[in-house]
Amino acid sequence: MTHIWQLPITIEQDSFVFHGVEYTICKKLDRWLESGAWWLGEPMLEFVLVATKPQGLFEIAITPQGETLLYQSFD
Amino acid sequence: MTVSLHTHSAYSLLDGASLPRELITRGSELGYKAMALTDHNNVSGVWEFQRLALEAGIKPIIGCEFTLFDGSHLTVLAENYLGYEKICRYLNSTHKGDNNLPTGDGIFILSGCRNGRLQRLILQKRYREALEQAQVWARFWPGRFFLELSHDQLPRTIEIFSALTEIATRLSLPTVATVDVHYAYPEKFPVHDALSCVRLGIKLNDVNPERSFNNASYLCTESELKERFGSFPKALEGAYALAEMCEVEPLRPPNLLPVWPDADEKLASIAWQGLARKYSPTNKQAPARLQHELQVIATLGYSGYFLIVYDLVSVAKKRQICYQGRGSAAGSLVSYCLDLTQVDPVAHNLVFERFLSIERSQQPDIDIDFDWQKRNELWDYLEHKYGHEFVAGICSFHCYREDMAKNDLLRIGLPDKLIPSFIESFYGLPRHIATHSSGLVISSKSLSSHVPLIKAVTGRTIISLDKDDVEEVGLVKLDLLSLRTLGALAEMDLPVKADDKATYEMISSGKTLGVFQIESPAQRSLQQRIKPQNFSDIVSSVALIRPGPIKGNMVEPFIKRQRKEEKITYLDEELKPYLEKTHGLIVFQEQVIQIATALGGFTPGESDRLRKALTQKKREVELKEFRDLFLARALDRGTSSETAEAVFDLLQSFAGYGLCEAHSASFAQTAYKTAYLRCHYPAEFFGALLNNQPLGYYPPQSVLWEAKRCGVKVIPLNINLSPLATMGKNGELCLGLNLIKGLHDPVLKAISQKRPFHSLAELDFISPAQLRPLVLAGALDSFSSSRRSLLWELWGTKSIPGDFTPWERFLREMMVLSLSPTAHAMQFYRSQLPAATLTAEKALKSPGSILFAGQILRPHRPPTKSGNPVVFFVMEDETGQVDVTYFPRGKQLPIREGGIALVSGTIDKERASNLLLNDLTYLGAPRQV
Repeated sequence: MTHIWQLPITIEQDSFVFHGVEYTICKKLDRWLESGAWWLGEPMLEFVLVATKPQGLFEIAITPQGETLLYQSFD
Repeated sequence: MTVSLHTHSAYSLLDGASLPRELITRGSELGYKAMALTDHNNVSGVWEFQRLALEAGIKPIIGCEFTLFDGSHLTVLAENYLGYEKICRYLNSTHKGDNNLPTGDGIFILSGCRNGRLQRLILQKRYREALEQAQVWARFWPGRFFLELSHDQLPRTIEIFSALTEIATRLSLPTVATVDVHYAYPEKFPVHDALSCVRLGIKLNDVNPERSFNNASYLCTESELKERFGSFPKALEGAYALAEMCEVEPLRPPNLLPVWPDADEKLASIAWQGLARKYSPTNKQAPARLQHELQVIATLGYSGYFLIVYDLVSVAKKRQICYQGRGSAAGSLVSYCLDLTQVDPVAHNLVFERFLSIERSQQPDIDIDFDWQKRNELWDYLEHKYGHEFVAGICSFHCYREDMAKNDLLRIGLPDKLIPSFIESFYGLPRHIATHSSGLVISSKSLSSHVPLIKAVTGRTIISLDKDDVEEVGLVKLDLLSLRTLGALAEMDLPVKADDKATYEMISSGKTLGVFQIESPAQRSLQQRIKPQNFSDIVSSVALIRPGPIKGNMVEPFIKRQRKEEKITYLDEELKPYLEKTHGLIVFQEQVIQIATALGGFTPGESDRLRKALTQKKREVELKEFRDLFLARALDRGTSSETAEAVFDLLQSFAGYGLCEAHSASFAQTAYKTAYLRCHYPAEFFGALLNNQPLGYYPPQSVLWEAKRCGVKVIPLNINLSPLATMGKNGELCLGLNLIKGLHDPVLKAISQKRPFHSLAELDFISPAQLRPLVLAGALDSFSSSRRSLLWELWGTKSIPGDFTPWERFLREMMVLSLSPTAHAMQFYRSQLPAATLTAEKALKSPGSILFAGQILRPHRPPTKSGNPVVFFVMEDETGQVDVTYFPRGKQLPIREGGIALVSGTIDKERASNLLLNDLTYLGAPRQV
C-alpha cells in the first residue's frame, strides 16, 4: 500500500522524523524530476526514492527552494 | 567532446519545440562538436539542419527516429549518404505498408529512448526477452548496433541503464549516452508540453502517458552530461566514438538533374528559330541579346531546365491549353523565343539579369500559369513522360501564426495570462504539412532513395521538403500554377486586338469589374486618375497598387506626373532612359539594377544582389558596403558626390517595395486581354467569368449585375432550355444549370439527354435533395408559377399554401445560385429609404455630400504609410458600385461583409467613384418583401 503525505520534513545527516519515528536513509534507490502543473504555477520537483532504517520506503520531494517534503510512503 | 546523437527539432511536428536554428545556436554556445537530427519518422529538417550546423562548425549527423509496428522507437543514424538513402527508402516504403528495416553498411542503429523496445521490456522486468531482442538486433546489424542509454531524469532510469549495461557486457555491445532532446533550453519545456497537448487533442489538465514528465529533454552542458552519466562514463565515450565514425564530409546528393544530351545546342537551335519568327531580320538588338543570354544559360548549366519547360509548354500549345509565363522569366529573350512567356523583353526593355546572371547562384525559376481545369492534365503528362518515381510535388510547412497559435492554446486550456508569451514561442514553428499549390520536381534518379515522400490527399506523391530544401538537394523545380482567368480566356477563345482605343477608354472610366488585376476599388480609382493610353501604363498600374508602393508614397507622385500636374525631374540625366517610362520614379525592381549599373558601374549581377539587399531586412552591413562601393564608382565615372548620395538614397527609399517589371508586364498582358474582351464581347466575357468561379474580386451576383449594366440580357434558368454551362453570345447570357449548387455532373448529363420535361413526375431519376435546388433556382418555373407549391409536391402533397414572397424567392435563389437573375437586394429596400438617398448611378455624378444605400462588399484594411487605419470597401446597388473609404477616427463603425447599410459621406470630386464615409447605419430586413 502507498500513502501520499506531502508533509514537510527536515533531513539532517541523512535522517528525518516521521510520525515520531526517526528514519535514517540507507540507500537512494532512484531519482527523477516531475514538472507539475506548470500552467498553474506549480514548480518542478525533484523526487528521490529512499530505503530507510527502520525498514521503510519513501519518496522525498525537493522543491526548487530546497525544501523537502515526504511525498509518499510504501508499506 | 560534447555530442548529441538523439535530437528532435520542430520538424517532429507538435513535439519538438526548437527550430534547427535554435538547436544549432545553443549547441554552438555549449561547444557541441557533433549533433544528430533524429526527428520522428521524417527527414524533413535535415538539409536545413546540415547547412546551419556546418555554418556553426558543428558536425551534422543525419538520422531519424523510426516508430516500429509495435509503437516502439528505434534511433537510426546515417554514417554517410548511403545511410541517408536507406533511411529515405525505409520511410518511403512504410507508407506502402512495407516494414523491412534497413540493413548493411551506411547506418548505425541505437536501441532507442525510453520508448525503445528493449527499454520497455526492461521496465516490465522481462530481462530475458530484452537480452534476446538485443541478440537478434546485434546479429541483424553486426557491428552497427548500439545500446542507447537515454537519460530523461524519469523514474527507474538507473535500473534501465544497469540492465542495458549488463546486456552490453554479455553481448559485447557498445553503449552510447543520449538525452532525448526535444528543445534547446529547459525553459522551453512548457512550449513542448503545450505542443504535445495540441498533438494529442487533450487539455493541459489531462493526464496522458505520451506527455513528457519533466523538462529534462534539453541540450545539456558537458558538466550536466557528466553528472547524468556519472556512473556510466563508457556510454559518454561511446557517444563520442560513434559521432567520430560518421563521415566528416557533409551529405551531398548525386546530380539529380535530368540529362538532356546536347542541351546547349538544342536550346540554341530552338531559340534562334523563335527569334527568326518574332523579329525582323533588321533588328540588331535582339540577336546580340539572345547570344548573350544563351551563353549565360550554358555557362550556368541550365539549358536542360529550359528544355524541360519548353517541352511542357509545347504540349500545352498542342493541346490548346491556355497558359502565360510570369515572374522574372518574362525578362528573358530566350523565354520569349521559346514561347514560355508572351511579353517582348526587347521592346519593353526588360532586364535579363533580374532573372538570371552569372553572379546569381540560384537555379532559375520559370513560373507558368495554366488554365486551372487543365493543369492536372499537364502534371499527368510529366509523370507519364519521366515516370512516376521521378516526379513529385513538394510540400509547404504551415507554421504557426498568431491566430493559429491562439486557437490551439485556447483549445488546450492555457490560462489567458500565459497566452501572449506562448503565441510568441509558437510563432514560426511548423504545425502541419500541406501540399505546395504548384511546385513539382523532376529527377533523373528514383526519388524514393533521395528524399522523403508522402502521399497527399489528392493521391499525388509529394516530397516532404519545402521548396528551399528541394533546391538545396539539387532537384529541378517547376511551378505549375493554375489560374482561373486563363480558364475564362480559353473558354472565350476570341481574337484580341492590341492598342484598342475603346478598351483604354473603358479602363480609364473605371469600368473594370472582372478585368484581371485591375478591378479592385484601388485599381479602378487609379485607372480613372491616370487614364491609361497604352500598354506601358497598364504595366505600371499593376505594379503600383501594392503595399510597397503605397507605403513608399510612390502612387500619388506617379499620378500627378502622369497628369502633368507635377514636373518630372531626374537626379541625373543618366537616369532618364531608365525612369522615363515611370515619370522619373522608381517603380520596378529592374530599375534599381539599371541605375546601379549605369551610375555605379555595377555588373548586372552585383546590381541584383544590391536589389535583394534593399528588399530584405537586417542587411545593414551589406548595404553599407554597397553604398560605399556605389559612391566610389559613381565618383570615378564623373558623378558628383551629392548626386551619387542622392541617387543611392533614392534606391534605399525603394527598399521593400516594387514589383518585378517582367512580372507586371506578363500580368498586364492578361489584364489587357480581359479588358478588351469585356469591352467588345461582354456577354461572352461575363459568361466565362461565371463559369470559372470563384474568380476575381467580386462575388457572382456582382458579376451578373455588372453584365446587366453593360446591356447584356440575362436569360434565367429553365430545365428544358438552359445550357449545362453558362453561355454568353451576341449580347445574351444564358445561365447554365451547373450554377445550381448540389447538382452533380451525372444529373446534369441525364437532364440534357432526357429533356424536355413537363412535370415533376418526369424527373423521378433525380433525388429530392437535388430537385429542391432546381425548384429554388427557378429552373422549374415552367411547371408552376408557385415554387412553394412545387416543393410541397416534392414532399408528396398537393396542398398549395401560397408562393414565396419576392424577398423569400430572392434569398433562396442566392442560397442555391449565389446570384439572382431577377432581383438585387437593394430593390427591396428602395421604398423605405429617405427620399434624398441616391442610387449608385446618380451618386457617381453628384460630387459633394450625399446619402447612399447599398450592400457592403470586400472590406479590407491595407497598411498605410502613416500607420493610421483606413478601411476600403465597395457598396453595390442595382445600378452600380461605389467605392468607399473610411478613416476611423474615435468611434469605430463596424464594417461587415454583406451588410446592407445607409451611408452618408462625400463623393470625391477627383475620384468620382469614391465616397468618403461619414456615417453608416445598418438596415435590418426590408419592410417591402
